[in-house]
Order: sequence, then C-alpha cells, then structure tokens
Amino acid sequence: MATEVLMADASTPGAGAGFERVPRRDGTRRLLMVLSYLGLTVGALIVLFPIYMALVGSLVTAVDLGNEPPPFFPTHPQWSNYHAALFNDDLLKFIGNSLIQTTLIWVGAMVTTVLAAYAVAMLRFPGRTLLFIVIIASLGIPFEVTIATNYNTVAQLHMFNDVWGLTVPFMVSAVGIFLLRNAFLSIPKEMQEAAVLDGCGHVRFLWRVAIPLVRPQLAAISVFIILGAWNQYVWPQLLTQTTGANEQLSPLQVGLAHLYGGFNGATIPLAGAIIAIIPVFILLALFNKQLIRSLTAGAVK
Amino acid sequence: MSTVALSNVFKIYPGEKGADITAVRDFNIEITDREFVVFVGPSGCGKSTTLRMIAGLEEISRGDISIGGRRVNDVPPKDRDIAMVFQNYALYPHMSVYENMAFGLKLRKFPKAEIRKRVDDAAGILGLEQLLDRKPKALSGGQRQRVALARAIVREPKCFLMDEPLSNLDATLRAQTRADIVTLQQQLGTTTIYVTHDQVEAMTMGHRIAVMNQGVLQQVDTPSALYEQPANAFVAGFIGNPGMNLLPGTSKQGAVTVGNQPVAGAASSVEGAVLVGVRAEDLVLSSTGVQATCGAIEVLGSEVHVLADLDGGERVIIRQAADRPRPTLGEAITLELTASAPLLFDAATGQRCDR
Repeated sequence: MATEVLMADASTPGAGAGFERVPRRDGTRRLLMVLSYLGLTVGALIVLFPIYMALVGSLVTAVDLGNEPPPFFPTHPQWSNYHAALFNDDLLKFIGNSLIQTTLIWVGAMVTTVLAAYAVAMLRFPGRTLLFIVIIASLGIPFEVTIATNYNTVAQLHMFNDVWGLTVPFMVSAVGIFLLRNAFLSIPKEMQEAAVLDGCGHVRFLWRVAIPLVRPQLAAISVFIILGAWNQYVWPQLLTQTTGANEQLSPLQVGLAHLYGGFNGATIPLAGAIIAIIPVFILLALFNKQLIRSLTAGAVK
Repeated sequence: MSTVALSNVFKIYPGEKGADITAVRDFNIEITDREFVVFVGPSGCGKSTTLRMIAGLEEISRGDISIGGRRVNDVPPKDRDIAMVFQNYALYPHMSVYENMAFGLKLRKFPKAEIRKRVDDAAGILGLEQLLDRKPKALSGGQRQRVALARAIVREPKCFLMDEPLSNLDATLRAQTRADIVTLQQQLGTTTIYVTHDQVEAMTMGHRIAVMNQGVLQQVDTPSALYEQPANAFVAGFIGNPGMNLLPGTSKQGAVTVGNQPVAGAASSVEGAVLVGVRAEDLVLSSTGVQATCGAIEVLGSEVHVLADLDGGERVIIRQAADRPRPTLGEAITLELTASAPLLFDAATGQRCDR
C-alpha cells in the first residue's frame, strides 16, 4: 500500500516537466498541462481509494461494514475500534517490535551500504568492476528466490529465536550501494586531493568530507530501507509463525493478522492497518524532496 | 631552507601492449628558497603532472624529488609540507570559510587558539574577515579563489603549489588576482611553483619561468632572458605576445637569406635550412624585402597587427603603430627585417645556431 503511494508521488514532477520542455503554442501547451494533471489526479485517486476505504472501514461498526454497498463516509466515527486495536490485541507490543527491528535493519544496512559504495567508487582493487556488476545483478533477483537459502543460513546460524534472524538478512541494500556509489563518484577529484593534502586518509575523508556531501542521498536511501523494513511481512511471518519460533518477536505487519477473528469482523484489523501506515506517511512527508531528487538525479546527468 | 629540486624525473604511464606514454622526460630543476617559478607550456606538455609529482599526488616513475633538502619520493603528500591551490578551488562545500581554512590544521591537531590565530591572520591578508562564516556557494569566484589561497597559507608550508589557479576567473579579476598573488608571495617569502598555460601570467609573475613542451623541459630562465634569448624555436614561438616570427631561410657559408633577400647581421653556425627569428616589432612594411600577402589585420587600439602570409605559406605578424598606413586584405606586400641581430634556429632540430 505504502509503496504505491510513494510511486504516485515520485512520478508527478517527472510527468509535468516532460510536457513543459516541449516548445508548443500556448493553447496546446495549456491543454496538455490540463490533460496531464487530469491523468495524474485520476491515478492518485485510484491509488488513494483503497486507503480511504480502509480508513472508513476502521471508523464504522462491523454491521455497517457488512452492508451492500459499504459505507463511503463514517457518519458516527467508531474511535473505539482504534482503542481496541491498540490495547486489546497487543498491537503496541508489535509496534515496539517493528520499531526495534526497523532501527536495527536501518543502522546495519547504512553501515554496509556506505562502506561498500565507498569501496566500489573510490578504492582501486582487482575485481572492483566485477564486484559492482554482481551487486547490480543482485537487484534483478526477487526476494522470493532467496528465501530458501536465507532460511537455511539463518537456521544454521541458530538465529530462529532471536531478533537477528529477522534483521541480519536485510542489513544491506544493493539499490543503496548503486545510488551512493554514483553520489561518491560525483565528488570532484580535486576535492579528494585537497583532503589528502590536508591530511585525510580514506576513513577521515569518508567521515569528514564524503558523507556530509552525500547527505541527501543518504536520506533517500534511509527512507527506502526503513520503508522496506517496516513493511516486511513474508520473512517475519515465515520465521515467527511457521517455525514455531518465538512469536513474541512478531513485527507489526505480522501482528495485524492477530486482529482478525472475533465479533468485530474487519473493522479492528483495518484500524490496525491505518495505524501501521501512519509512520510511513510521516516519513514520506519529511523526506519526499530528497527521495524524488535521488530518483531523478541519475536521469538528468 | 625551502629549496625544491627535481633530478632526472620521469613520469611514464603504462600504455597498451607495452607502448608506454612518457608524460615527463628527464626533468631537472633546482628552485631556490623564496623563489617564484612558473611552469608554462601548451596543454598536455606535462607541467601539471610535474607539479602533482612534487605534491605527491602522482607517483614518480624515475628520478628524485627533494623539498627542503629532504628526498620526498616516498613521503605521503600530507607530510611533504606543501600546500596546493587547485584550478577549481576544491573547497569543501559543506564547511564554512573558517572551517575550510582550519580543516588541515585541525587534522594536524593544532591547538584551537593557534588555529584561530592563523586563520584570522590569513583572512586579514586576503580580506576575508567578513566572509568567515559563509559557505563556499555564497561566495563569488574571486572570493572562492582567495579562500583557496588562504587555506594554503594557514598551513605555513615550505612550498606553495598552484595549478592554474586563475583559469576560472574572468579577465579583469584574473589580472587583479595575478598581482595579489605576486604581492602575497613577496610578503610571505614562500617558495612557489605556479603552473599555467598562459604565457602572459608566466611573464608577469615568475622570477624564473620553466618552459615545457611534450614532457621535456625546454628552458629555464628569467622572463626577459627567455624573451630575448630563447634557447630554441619552440620557446621563441611560445614566449611573447605575439610569439616570435620564424621565417624559413637558408644558410650558405654562414650568410643567411630569406626569400633570396640577405638578412643583415645574421651569422649561422650550420649550413642549410634555418629559421630566422624576428619579433613582430622588428618587421616593417617596406618597398624592398621578403614577399608576402596581407592575410588579416587586427586592430588593437594603439597598435595594429598585420598578419602576412609568406610565399611558402608561413604566417608572420607585423606589429605597427595605429597611425601607420595599413595594407588592404590580399594586397602583395614586402617585409623588411630591422632587427640588428636576428636569432637563428636550426630548421631540423629547432636549436639556436647563431652563436
């Protein structure tokens, strides 16, 4: 759900700019503008409609939700659904789990991504290009393909029963390495040489000069990683539910499944789902600009 | 003592299939304490590579470099006690002017008070006191260049290395900053090596100029000596604005002729084809002399350059006062050599052959 919102946002400026660049007569241009905004509006509505319906569903009674057609507006908002989701069904604990796991994944992935990107961008060693190609190629392998091997690895490392099994497999980001490598490569050679003359080795150059210069890209990569970690479902579901491992570790998305059942039908799970996407919205609102800039940066250069 | 000495320095880049590229060949120079030496030459002549070898940013393929009497071939750049100014300034965009200047000192663990003092002093010298809190992007090109200079002088190094530091400035600012750098160097007395492709910069700034071409040092001398006594045809043609005219001539038993006209005062030590070097002001339009065609006329205000094509196709430049009569384009003209002792170069080797 959250990913779709992100994509709709990111495509907006690209589409507008594309039309503006074509020199046309004023009338034609205005018509194209209107049409493009119309298209974007329809697209946004399509993306936002399910979220709106979830919001409505979370604020009505189970009986109302069962009606045909379903209600399009909560006439008597049932805030008790939210109270029930948060306090009757351990949702707070799952939120806490998600926060811890997301933070661990984020920190771990940032460390490995920064170091790997710096190595493939700035260091000269045999096999550097090959390594980079392998990293890029791994982007083409869907997560589902690696589940079995990851599962075996985690099993062999005896990480089923702790938080590491849920987080370590995600502590690297190939997209992040790719974006960050390009950012590092855009640092002028002379600046690196000036730093060398000032007394920087690689570590100090990375920490004092390179990282501060790529802060926008770091922010964008952070958003990608955090979104991915927060929205994890398949892997934690596999680890915490099917293996009989510690259910106490379930993150939010898995925990939402616990909300089903009972007299309230889908209303309380929907309230839980709305709660789950609030952090995502906040994150996107804060870092929207960096995210779009990092996505379009490669295209313009 | 901050002498800089290069002896038999080579820079060889490995090329494909063993075809190595020699960027700098057998370079020898001794730069004395407090001296301002300019490396000049056309692009690709190896002058920047030489400077970067002194800085330690390029490895030396062969030979020795010493700074202040210490051999530095294997000394890392930061320990060579040099400071470098780059063409594109290379300031850290995320740091303020103060932080840019202080960065190198901080990494060298200077006490805070000492850093403050040095930065303030340098800012005072270069007029940057009001700009210390600004980021580089809030500065003009000229201000950025002064910050780059200030960053070099706070280090109080044995030697300044400057790689075309004025190339990104507009003409007015360039002339002004040129003078500022000369004054600064005199004030500080720091040995300075300055790289440029602009021979006007070289002539006006350096105590001595090292002219390079195709990786080879052609001549090292004072600006006036280079202008008056170039060692070879390349230096003659490169130094001066315009460069020296090189007219094809023939030497027979020491007597030199150009286009069948005898050249007065010229005595060659070689026989056969020679080049007769004459400055633009030593060529005049006359009724007798070398045949040519007027190819173009450049009016520069107080003077006029007449560009003339000799019968063999060589182009020469005649400098004359603006009030002298000018030929029209395409008109046949004759040129007289008025130099009392024109310079002669061996046409085959380019070396001087009049002494």
